Amino acid sequence: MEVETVQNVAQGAGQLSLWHLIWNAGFVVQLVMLGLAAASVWSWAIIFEKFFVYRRTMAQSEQFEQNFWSGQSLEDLYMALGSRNNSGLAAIFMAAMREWKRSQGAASRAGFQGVQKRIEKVMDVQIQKEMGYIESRLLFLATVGSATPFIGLFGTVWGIMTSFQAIANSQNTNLAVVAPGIAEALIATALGLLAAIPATIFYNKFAADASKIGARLENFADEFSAIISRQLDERV
Amino acid sequence: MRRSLTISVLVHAGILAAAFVVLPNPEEFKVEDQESIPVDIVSIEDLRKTQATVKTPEKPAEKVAPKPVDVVKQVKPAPEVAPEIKTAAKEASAPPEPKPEPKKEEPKKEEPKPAPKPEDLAELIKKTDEPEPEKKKEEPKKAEVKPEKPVEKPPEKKPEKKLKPKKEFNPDDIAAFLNKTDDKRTAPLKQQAETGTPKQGEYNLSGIDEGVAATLRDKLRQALERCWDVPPGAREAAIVVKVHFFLNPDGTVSGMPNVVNSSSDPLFTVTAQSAVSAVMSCQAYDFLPQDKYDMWREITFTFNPNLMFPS
Repeated sequence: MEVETVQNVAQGAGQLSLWHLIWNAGFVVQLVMLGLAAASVWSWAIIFEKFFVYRRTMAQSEQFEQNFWSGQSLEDLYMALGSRNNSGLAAIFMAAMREWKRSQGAASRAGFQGVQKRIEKVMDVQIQKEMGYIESRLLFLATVGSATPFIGLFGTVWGIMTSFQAIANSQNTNLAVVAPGIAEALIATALGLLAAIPATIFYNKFAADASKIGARLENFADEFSAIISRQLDERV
Repeated sequence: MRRSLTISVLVHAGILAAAFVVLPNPEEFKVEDQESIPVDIVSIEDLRKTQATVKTPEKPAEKVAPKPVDVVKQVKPAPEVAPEIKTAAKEASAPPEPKPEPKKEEPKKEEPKPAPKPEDLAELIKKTDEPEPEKKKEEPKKAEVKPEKPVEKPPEKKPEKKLKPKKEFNPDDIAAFLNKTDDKRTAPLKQQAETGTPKQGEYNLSGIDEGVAATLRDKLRQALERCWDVPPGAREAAIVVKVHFFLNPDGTVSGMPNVVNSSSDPLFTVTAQSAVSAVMSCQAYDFLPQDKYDMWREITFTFNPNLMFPS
């Protein structure tokens, strides 16, 4: 008897590779694993995307600040940036300048009090837009980080449930009968954790980065509105 | 976003492919083959029979033992071995030393074997005795080797001495239990068992097979153990109740069981009542073999809480 079971196990070892375990899993477990794989792919896509976007945003902001504080006239900067598709600090600057240009005719008639308010409003709106772009899809990372372990656990519980039913039907409690079903079910939890861990780590990193970028945008808007206010006062 | 998505898909595909290459089949746990011990479930009657038959042939077993001694005497003059050793001895005075040494080890290794077969014993003793003639022929030829004699001789005699007392242990007793499964080892013993079979276990005066009776008693005890609700304190007071009752062929109790013994202990009546109710509640005793009804028609059962429930 013992010898027989040992031989059975030896023969069954070939059927225990990762691929066989996934392929022979139950329908629900396979569905869960598929969903987890998709979540992992999508979350990594977001991670790469955010990585590139943040790096670009930081670099552009750095360059723009250099140009802005270089003593160059704002008109020249406006003309230079006008043709480009701007983002970050440059986009805020452009929005403010555009509003300033538009308001000049009205300002000469109605005074400059309204102009400053309008420019600040426009800059606020532009900051919101930029932050919306920066923070987009970060929430998905947070969701993956918190939900996929549970989804994987669901797959595991379901798989173990069915394998126990199979054990009960086969009337045999031999470990060789019990083990494959459980190993198969546990893959779901492993996949859930595999998706959740990077998602959580990068969500935290990107959330911190986004708040840093947001603070930078706010600071620039405040500084720029101070400059405009000073210039308007000088005109009067 | 498309670029990131493609990167992500590619990375996942790469990792998955690597996982199939790098994480192949997990290695098997190496389970060392355990020697399978065949176990037979033997009823008490069979066991008793084997015991009964094995006890009688002690004498033939002893006859086997002295044989090797005779063999030793026969082997001593063995002339074949002599020329070989003469040549070896001529070559050098040193070689004789290592030769006997490995032979010394042989008997030591074989000593722990629990039940050596008589034939093996004879062979074994032959082996151990072989060095003896060697040395006797070496001794006269070489006076230089003399110091070796006291070293070599004692170990030769030891194995013989040690093996002999083992026979007093009577390894046949153990072998007799195994003779059901193993045929080669106990082949001679089987013959003895066959010669002893006419006895078929010990019969008591009433002609009832003790072995069968023991099995029946065992079954009955198991049943009654389950049914008996021992009153608290009975175990500590060591109360023993003997209940006498008759059984019908269908296994039901005929009439009321009556308590045979008595005691002044106040707990005795309670215990006796519980024993009687155990006998009544355990009906029907239909597990007892029908064809041996005469053996269990009338039963006197001893309820002893300390013996029945070993704690």
